[in-house]
Amino acid sequence: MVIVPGNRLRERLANVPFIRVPVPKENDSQEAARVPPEAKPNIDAPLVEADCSEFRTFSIQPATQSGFDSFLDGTERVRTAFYVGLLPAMIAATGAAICKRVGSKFDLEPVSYKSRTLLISPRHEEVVRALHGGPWELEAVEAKAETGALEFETLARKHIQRVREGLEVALGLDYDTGNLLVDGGIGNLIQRPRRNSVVGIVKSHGRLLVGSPDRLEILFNLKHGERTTLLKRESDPKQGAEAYTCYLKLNDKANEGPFYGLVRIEVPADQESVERIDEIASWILAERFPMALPERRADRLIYPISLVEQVLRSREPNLLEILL
Amino acid sequence: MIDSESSPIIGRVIGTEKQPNSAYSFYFWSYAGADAPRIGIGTLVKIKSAEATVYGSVVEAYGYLNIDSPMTAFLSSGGNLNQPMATERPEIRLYEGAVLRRDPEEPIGAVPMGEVFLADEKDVQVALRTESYKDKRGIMAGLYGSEGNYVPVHFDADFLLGPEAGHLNITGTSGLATKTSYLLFLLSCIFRDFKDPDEKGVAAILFNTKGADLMYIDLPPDEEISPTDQAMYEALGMEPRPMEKVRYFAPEKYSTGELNTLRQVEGGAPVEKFNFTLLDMMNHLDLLVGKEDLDPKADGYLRYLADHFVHDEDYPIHTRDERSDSRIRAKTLDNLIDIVRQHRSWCDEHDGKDYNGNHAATISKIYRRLQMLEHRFKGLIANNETASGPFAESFQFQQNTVYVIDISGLNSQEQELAFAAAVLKLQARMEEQNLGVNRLIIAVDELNKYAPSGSGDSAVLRSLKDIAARGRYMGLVLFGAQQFRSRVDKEVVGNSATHAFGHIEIDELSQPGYGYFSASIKEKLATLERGTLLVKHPHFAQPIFLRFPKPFTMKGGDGMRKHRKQAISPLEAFKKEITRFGHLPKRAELVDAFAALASNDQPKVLIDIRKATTEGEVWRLLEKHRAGMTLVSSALTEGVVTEVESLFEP
Repeated sequence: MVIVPGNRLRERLANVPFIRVPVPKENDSQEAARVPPEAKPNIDAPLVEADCSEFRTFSIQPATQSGFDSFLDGTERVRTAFYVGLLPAMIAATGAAICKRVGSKFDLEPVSYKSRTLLISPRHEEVVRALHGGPWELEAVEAKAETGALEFETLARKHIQRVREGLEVALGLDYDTGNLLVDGGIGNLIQRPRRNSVVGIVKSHGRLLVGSPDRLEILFNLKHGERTTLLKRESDPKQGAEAYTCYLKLNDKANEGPFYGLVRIEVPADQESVERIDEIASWILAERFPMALPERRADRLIYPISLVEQVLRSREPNLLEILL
Repeated sequence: MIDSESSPIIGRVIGTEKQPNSAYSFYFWSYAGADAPRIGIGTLVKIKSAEATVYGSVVEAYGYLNIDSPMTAFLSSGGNLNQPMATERPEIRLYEGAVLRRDPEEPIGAVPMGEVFLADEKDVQVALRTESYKDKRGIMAGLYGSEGNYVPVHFDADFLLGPEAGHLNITGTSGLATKTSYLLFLLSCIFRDFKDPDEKGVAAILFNTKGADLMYIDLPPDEEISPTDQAMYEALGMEPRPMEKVRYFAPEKYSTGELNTLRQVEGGAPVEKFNFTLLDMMNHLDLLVGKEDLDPKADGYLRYLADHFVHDEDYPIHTRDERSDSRIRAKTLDNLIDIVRQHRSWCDEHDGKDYNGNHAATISKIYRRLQMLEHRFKGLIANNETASGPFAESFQFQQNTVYVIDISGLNSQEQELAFAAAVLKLQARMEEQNLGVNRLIIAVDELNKYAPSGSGDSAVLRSLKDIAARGRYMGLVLFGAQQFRSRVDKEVVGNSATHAFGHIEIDELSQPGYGYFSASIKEKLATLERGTLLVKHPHFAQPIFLRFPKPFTMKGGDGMRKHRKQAISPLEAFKKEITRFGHLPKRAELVDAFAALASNDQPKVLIDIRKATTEGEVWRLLEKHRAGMTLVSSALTEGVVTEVESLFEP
């Protein structure tokens, strides 16, 4: 995106009353502070492996070569753009991409890519007029008089997150070749039959699918290279269709917390997935090296996924330039 | 041939806060791997942008992974070198370039963010500005690029041979086929390409200072031309041929009258004699008698001799108090020694009285020194008033001809004297514009010997400085070469407009004079392959690497082997030298006998002795090489053995 004079937000809003445009600071964290998942209690999800009547661990040997050849991830970057009265308008760059890997060579040119630049502002007629036709998609949101600044910001962030997820789903649904590894759950990608294999890798554990003390103990003691019994994650409006899932200890260190290196694998809820789960887990273990260092979440982040993130970051529009 | 109009983008210019582009340097990135563009140090590139087209030369190359430290690499592989990696980390290649030219020339702003292409033939000519003079004044300098993509590059004759600028300086490690090879290649190009409106043309005088390097350049080589060289000759539009017009000159051996030369060819160009008049030599008194002996009194007396008995008309031998009709003028060295002898006799007859203000002891000292010259420099000094060879007043140089002056058989001091006298003589004659050619190239190796840095003053240094500063106006061009540029006088090097650098040792490259080369350029120079040079020329904003073919001439060593006369052993050679005396040799004679033995088969002691510049040094070497004395002793009569051995008594 080329920012030409006149497309800068500050210039557009120069004569609009009741507006404040703070000077953006370069060092402001641009990383999206994703809205934390809703707190929900842990549950004991149903076991689905036919020959397994109990929740237990399986030791998996890493494959000599991973079978994944495509990787899907999305990113979002959010900044406060200006204030309408006391409410913040948020600007966000969102994107999603699928990148391919041939052998061990990762192609930095995505095979599939979508992005959107959103400007979410409290509705204000003069603001809408001033910002019309800029290098952004303006979404004016009606805010009640009693809406607080934090509440509006949370609403905006949730919306941005949904847009990002929407981009990921759109790309993932259209992509029907190879073995696709997705950052996050796959519920929204398997709502219709697929011609290719898709596997999700979930790094955050807002709600565990194990709740009883004995299962929690097994999860707590999971060793590097071990997976748990395959479980069923029920469908829900947010996560989409039901999927089969298991926990896998990708990395372990004695002096780290229990979630260190712990990921949850999601596969389509079918018999083929049950039969292939060891193979899939072994592929994920083969992705352990190189670690995604220096990323903060390198214990759980698969390196090719981190590369997709880097590709997306490199393509993001410079929000600072729009705001200056 | 590369065609940048249709060739792919090989990089993109990048500027960051930490590494911004400037008006003269820039960065661009590219990718790595087997299919990566062929970009290396010295590659010429073109940057295209809407703002300007910029031409540059790659001076540094970097490679990065997407990690911030070696520790990250270590940790991300689990500290295991053999750990298989599911995904290769992306690698970026970053190149630093130096600007050669930009279009438009103004304003001189920072290099724009543009697309980078390999330079094609037209781009190379534009980048180096050769397109403006190539047809009128171009002299082939070498080839840019690699086989299949060679681009001829030209020097501007006005800036190589004058009058706009002039001179060439070549630096390179000895024995790595850079200096002499490039010199011969460039001379061929000059003879082919130089267009002189006066049609008098250009000639070159080459000093052969060691081995037989230049003594067979009129003959083809023994071995076949390599396909690589053949391809280069074709790209240059040249036929591989030996030098067509060559004349060889050497001084006489004082003892035998034979020519002191390493060229021994039956038929072909003969070796002719060269020498100087005593008058020519009197400008180099410091070299004649040795700097260490030239105290103010001795210097004064020698100048007195030069002024009154050599330069001047005949002058009577008398003092201010006595009148005499006996007039004498020194035309030869013997005449001069005779005059000094008469002065000494006069002093003896007058109880050691000063002779015209010159102390008797000084006269005696000079007499002894001049007596020694009889053997040391006699081959260089004509025994009449007329010099022989290219340093004679009447000698006319012919265009497109190489004149090889073989001084390899002379010791260091004699070589220095011969070069100094030659340079001064040629300079004087060129000023009078009667050399027969419009441009005369003087080519000499080991320039550090004749124009050393920080060595004070000498006639040859003064002369070389003068040629370096003014020669281009007169048509006198200096092609100097040396192994250690840092040891050559700055004025002489600095006035050279064109510079070529071959393989150079890293010790030399660490000297301040190479500070403007990037670390990678220095590394490349330290490992440069044969036939490749880094070249600076006034039209080139940055030095560029050029290749040139091996000259199609016979190597000195091959010529010596092929044309060697019936070899005689060093022992026999020494005997021959000794027996010529007909008496027990004096110390000085013994020294000269050693020095006269010029053969590659000499034992180490003889080789070292030939390099000695003082008598004391000779005796120290003899002592050091006592083993070699066995050989010497067996060659001597019993009486001589006794005398030689007595010299080593404690």
